[in-house]
Amino acid sequence: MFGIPIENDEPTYILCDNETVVKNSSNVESTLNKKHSAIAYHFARWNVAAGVIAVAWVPTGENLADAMTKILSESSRDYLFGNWTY
Amino acid sequence: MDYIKAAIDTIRGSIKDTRWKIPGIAKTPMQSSFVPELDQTPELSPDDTTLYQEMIGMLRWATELGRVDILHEISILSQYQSSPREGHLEQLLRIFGFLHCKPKLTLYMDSQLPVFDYSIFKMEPGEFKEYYRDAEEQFPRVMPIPRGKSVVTTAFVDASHAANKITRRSHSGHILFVNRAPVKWMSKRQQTVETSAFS
Repeated sequence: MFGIPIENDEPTYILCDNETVVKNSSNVESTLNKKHSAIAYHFARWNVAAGVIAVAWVPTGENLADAMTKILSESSRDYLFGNWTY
Repeated sequence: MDYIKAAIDTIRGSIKDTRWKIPGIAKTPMQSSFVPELDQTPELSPDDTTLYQEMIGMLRWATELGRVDILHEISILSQYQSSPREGHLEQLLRIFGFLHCKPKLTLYMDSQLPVFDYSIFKMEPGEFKEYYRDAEEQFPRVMPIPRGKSVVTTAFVDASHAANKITRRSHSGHILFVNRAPVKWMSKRQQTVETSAFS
């Protein structure tokens, strides 16, 4: 939204169904039990600190992007795509 | 919609003299039990391989025109373009059957603010600031002055971890909404093998 003159002062709300990702990017205390933490981990947390993004968890059945990564049954496909297409 | 109908008619014409046919009723683009990487059916003849590649080309163009509901299936089947097997072609014809059953798809372009439960977001960027002192949103030096109503961007992200049974690669997908209008979507196989999300 920088290039076009439209106001967008809230963070980008990111909804994700992976609990670890949400925990690590929304809790301050959370650290990885790893010898080396990836750049991506600090990049995500840096952006949360800067107020660029805000991450939250949604159930897998409610995640609209789920249909982009899996072959689903008819009912769940209809529900997920029904939220943004018709 | 016209493109979809024309594509189905073209394919009907070119498979008329072969043993392949488009299934009449298909509720989903692909069978959920079908695993393309473990398919052991015989490989297609050169003519049928050309047909497979033509069909992939048509469907990829259809996804560009807004058929977002077959994105993932096309992405899966495009991986087998160089040596497709009979099972893959059957699934591809099934996608045409699905398009025949559901020829129309429209995206909601809703400019209203999303109906949203903001309480699920724990917003304490202040606490994070202690760890990342230099964290501040970067703005370009030359930026036009914003006018009009402000917008809210929402993103849905997902990944299927190690979905491919042979290469163990993951598939990632995301949808980006501005207010309630979808503006960007993607379904793509990842180029690396990952151990976890924050590896």
